[in-house]
Amino acid sequence: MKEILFYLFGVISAVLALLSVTSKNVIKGGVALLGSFISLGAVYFTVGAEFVGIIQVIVYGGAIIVLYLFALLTMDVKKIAEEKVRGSSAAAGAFLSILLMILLLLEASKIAGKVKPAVSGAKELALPLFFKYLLPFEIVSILLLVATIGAVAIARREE
Amino acid sequence: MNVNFLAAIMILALTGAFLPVINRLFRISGIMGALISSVGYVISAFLVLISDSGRSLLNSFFTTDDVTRLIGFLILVASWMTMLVVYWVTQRDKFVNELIGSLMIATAGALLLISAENFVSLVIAMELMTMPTYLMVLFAFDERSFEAGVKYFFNGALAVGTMLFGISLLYGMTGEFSFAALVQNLFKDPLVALAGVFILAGFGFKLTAFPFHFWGPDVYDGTCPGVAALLTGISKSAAFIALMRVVYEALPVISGKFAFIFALIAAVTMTVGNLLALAQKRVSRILAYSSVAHAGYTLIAFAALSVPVSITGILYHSAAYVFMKTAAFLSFAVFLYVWGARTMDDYKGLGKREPLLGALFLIFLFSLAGVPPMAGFISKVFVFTAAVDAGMTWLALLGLLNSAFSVAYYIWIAKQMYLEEPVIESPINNPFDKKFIVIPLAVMAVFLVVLGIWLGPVVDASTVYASKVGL
Repeated sequence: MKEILFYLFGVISAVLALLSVTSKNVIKGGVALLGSFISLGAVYFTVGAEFVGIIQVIVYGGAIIVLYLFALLTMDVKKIAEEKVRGSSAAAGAFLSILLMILLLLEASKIAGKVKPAVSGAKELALPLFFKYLLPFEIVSILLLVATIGAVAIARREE
Repeated sequence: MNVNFLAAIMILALTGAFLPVINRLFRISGIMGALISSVGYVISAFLVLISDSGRSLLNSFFTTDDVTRLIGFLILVASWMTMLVVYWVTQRDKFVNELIGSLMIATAGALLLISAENFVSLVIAMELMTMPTYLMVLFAFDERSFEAGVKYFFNGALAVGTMLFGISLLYGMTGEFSFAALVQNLFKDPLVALAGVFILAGFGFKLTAFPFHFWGPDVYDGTCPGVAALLTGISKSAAFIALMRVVYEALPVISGKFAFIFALIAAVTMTVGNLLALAQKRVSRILAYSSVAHAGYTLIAFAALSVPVSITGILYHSAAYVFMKTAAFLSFAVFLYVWGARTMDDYKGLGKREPLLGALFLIFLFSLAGVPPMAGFISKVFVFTAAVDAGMTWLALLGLLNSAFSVAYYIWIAKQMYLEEPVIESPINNPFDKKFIVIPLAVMAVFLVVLGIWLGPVVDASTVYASKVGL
């Protein structure tokens, strides 16, 4: 059952990812990307990495997609749809993707069967974060505070 | 890390974080805001001074040694004075409390950075120091500050990305982040050298060392001068101390190999900085390029890393630099606010109009040029001695030549201020409390002179540190 779900969500994720880059309509592509991210989260769940799955859905499905859509809102979508894809950039992209795929497959074949799913649980991540790396972790929270102050100051300034 | 030092950092960061909130709730005046943040500064300076006693915790991330205490105290004082001047020159701005809050948090980051003994805490402290300044550079909200802000942001992101790449290589080889563990586990290897190059390049961006110096003057010139004071003085000095810890504590295996690279970078950086400074018409750009040149002087001491006096050189130049560069930019900020003076021509006769401020500005310029009895002189003596001791006489000679050369543009400002007739008829701002703004600048001048005469504290701290790292 687990394996069926794993392959099912994996295929859905791959198909939606393909759809998101080939779709002419940018908004449709964005929504397909959202679906791809969520089903990727489901893939993590099926292999026992619940925490990574939840983070995947929250961060990618929530924050990053919203960021994409906001960025798209500021652009002229019709103009982008009319633009022709240049052959040279498509070739360069294809070359880099194939290179990346070969590298990933080579490395993945080396570590196949050696993966420890327990490492990706919430407890294993929380222990070092809240004990060994407590102080750096707390300092990062001040960084977020600074970002908030900055966002408020910059946004309110224009009123 | 000592609990008192940690408390000092927490109080500083919390005061900075709560300042905008207090302002939103109670609509405080500029003087009130300066008072509240001064209380934060005084408490944390006191805590830094007593941080040699008390318990310590989380020792694998931060350390509190003599260097931390000394440079931390000097940074706190310089930042406090910066805060007072910045409050004064931007008092009409609605968002001045956000600016000051960011300044205090950036200072807290600088205090963490000078005590970082682990690459995780180093990167995080460096980000805590840099992140508020991204906001501060944008603060003037005109065309030039937008350009400066975007340039600064992307260069900062590139710097930390480069550094993280180098650190990840080290982590991949040893599985360790802390300097003490790295020193035991690292060995001579091309990959270690590559990691070292990436980490040094990241620092190079922060220090505006030669191949990475181009963004510096644009940013320092484009933003408001109070912020430039923080960027050039305080954050650069803290970055120098962090680089010192990396070079002497984490990577001594390969840093010997880097001596010649440091020497080359130092030679080119100071020459380029001084040559370009001479070609400028705007005083802020002169100060910005002289800051590039001063990064070169400190790198001379890094090039001489095999001899103990190099540590004295690094420490002394960082300590002197905190005050002289910060104070020079602050004086420029005050002149800009009161008289609207930007270019060399505007500075004509300003020394006669503002005798006290002009004299203080002259002290800072002379200290930058290396005139005794200011600290800028004695720090250069230590730096050049280190180069000669390490057998790099050519570098010391080049440094001497450069400092003689740099006197030209400092003297040029002085000449404009005192020997020419005034061109600006009336001040554009003439607040009633103008005479008080001399006080923070005078405090910095006193620190410069005291550091130039009383060598004890810095030399003692560097001796202790040198024996700690085994030199």
